[in-house]
Amino acid sequence: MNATREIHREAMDLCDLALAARSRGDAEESRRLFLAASRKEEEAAAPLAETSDAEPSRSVLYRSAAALALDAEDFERGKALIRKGLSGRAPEQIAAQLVALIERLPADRGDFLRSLRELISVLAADSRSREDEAGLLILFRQSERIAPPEFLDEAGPGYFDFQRAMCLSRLGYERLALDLARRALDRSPGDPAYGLLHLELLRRCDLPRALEEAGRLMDLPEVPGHLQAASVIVLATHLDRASDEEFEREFPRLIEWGRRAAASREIGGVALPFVLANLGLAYLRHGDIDATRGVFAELEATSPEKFRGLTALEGYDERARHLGEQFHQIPQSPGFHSSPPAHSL
Amino acid sequence: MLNRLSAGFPAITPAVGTMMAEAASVCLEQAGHPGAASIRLDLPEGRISALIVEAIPLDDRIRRSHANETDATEAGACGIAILAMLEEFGFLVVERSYQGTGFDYWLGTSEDTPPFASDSAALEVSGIMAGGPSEIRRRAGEKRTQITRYEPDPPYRAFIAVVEFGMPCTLIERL
Repeated sequence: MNATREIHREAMDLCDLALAARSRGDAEESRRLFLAASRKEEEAAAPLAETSDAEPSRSVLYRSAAALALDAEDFERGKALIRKGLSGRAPEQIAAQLVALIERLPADRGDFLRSLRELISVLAADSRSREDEAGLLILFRQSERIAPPEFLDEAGPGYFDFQRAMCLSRLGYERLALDLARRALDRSPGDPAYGLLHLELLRRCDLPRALEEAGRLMDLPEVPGHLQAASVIVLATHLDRASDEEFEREFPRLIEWGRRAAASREIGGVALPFVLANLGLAYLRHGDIDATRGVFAELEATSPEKFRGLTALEGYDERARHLGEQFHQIPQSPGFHSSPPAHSL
Repeated sequence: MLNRLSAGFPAITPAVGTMMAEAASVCLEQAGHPGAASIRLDLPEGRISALIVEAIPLDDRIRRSHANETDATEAGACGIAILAMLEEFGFLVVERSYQGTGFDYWLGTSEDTPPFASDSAALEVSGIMAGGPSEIRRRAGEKRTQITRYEPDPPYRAFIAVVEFGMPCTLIERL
C-alpha cells in the first residue's frame, strides 16, 4: 500500500502542475501533464486491479485516473479507466461519479452503426466479465447519444435507460440502476419489462416502497401476469421479515395475490414456479400442511429438480426460511429487449 | 493560523497549502474581514466553537492571482475546512483524489492510515463567499443528498464542511 500511496501522490503533484498550466492558459502543457498524472494514477491502482477487497481505494484511484485522462482529452484511455473502475465493487457513490464521467466522452454521430454492431457483438457473447458489462453500459449510453430518431422511435421510449439499468443491476449498483429503471418506466409506463425491473430493484433497495408499488399494481383492473408474480414476491419478502402476528394478518392477502398470479395466462414458465414456491411456504408457515402439500405437488410437476428440497419440508423452520430466500427473485426473462431493434442495421 | 496550511499536510504540498491560505485570506478580505477573523464553527451534535485565523499578508500580485472568485472561494474554503478538521477532530488530510471538478479529501489521524481505507474519513467541502445561514443549510443539504443518494450507509465515514466567508461561519456535519 505504501508504493500505491507514493505513486498516487506523484500523480496528484502532476495534477497540481497540470491545473497550474491550465490556469495560465497553457493548454498543451496542461494536457501533457494531465496525461502523465493519469498514467501515474493508473500505475497506483494497478496492484489493486484484481482484488475485490481493496474498495474504496481501487475505485477512487480509477475514478481519479479516468478524470485525469478526460482532462488530457485522451478519451479512449478515459473510457478504459471508467470501465476498470466500475468493474470492481465500488461504493455506489463512487460508481455514480464514474458513471457521470461517461457523459464527458465525446459522441460522434457518424459512428452509430459501428457502435450498434459493437453492441450486438457484446450482447451475443456467451458470457461477459464485469469489465465487459461496464463496457456495455458505456456503449449503450454513447449509442443513445448518437442514435438517429428513426432508431429511437423503433426502440421505443426508455429503451436505453432500461438497458443501462440492466447493466448497472448486473454490476450490483442497484440504486443507480433503480434511478434509470424508474426513468425508463416513466417514459414507457405500460412496458412490462420496465415495470418488472423497477419493482425488483425497489424490492432490493427500498422494501416499504416496493410494497406500496405492489399494492398499487394489484389494485389495477388488469396487470400482466409476471408483474403480479413480482408483486407476490415483494409481499413474501416483506412477510419473511415480519412477526408471526403480522404474517397471519397479511396471510390472506398473500394467498389471494398468489392465486391470482398463478391463474394468470401470461405468467409464463419462469415466474409460475416462484409464485407457487412462495405460496407453499406461506401455507407451511400458516400451518396448513394439506394446502402446502398440494401446492408443492403442483410445483414438482412444473420443475421437479429445482424444487425438490421444498417438498421434503416438514415445518416452517430455519431450513424453510433459507430455501424461501432463493425464491425471492424471479430471473429477468432473457427475451425482454435484450438486443437493439435488428432491422435498424 | 492560516500559516499552518503553508507547512503542508501528508497529502498537501506546502505550495498547495500556501495557495489555499492565500485564497482564504483574499476571500476573508473581500468579505470585509481583513487581517484576522473569528470563524464560527457549527459542529456535529450541536457543538459550537470558533477558529481564530490570522490572514497572511496580501499584496496586489496575490490578489490578482486569486481574482477568479469561484476558484478562490473553493480553494479558500478547502483551507478553512482542513484547519477546522485538524483543530476540532485532530484529523490530517492523508490523501486527496481528483474528481475532474476538483479534489476530494480523505482524513486520518496519522500518515499510517491506508489511503482511502474504510477507517479513514472523506471530507466534502463547499464554499460560499456570502450567503448567510439559509444558504449554508441549503448547500449542506445539497452535499448530503449528493453523498447519501446512492449510499445511504457509506462504507466509510464522511464529513461535509460548508464554509461561508461573509459571517464568517463553517458548518461541519458528520454522515
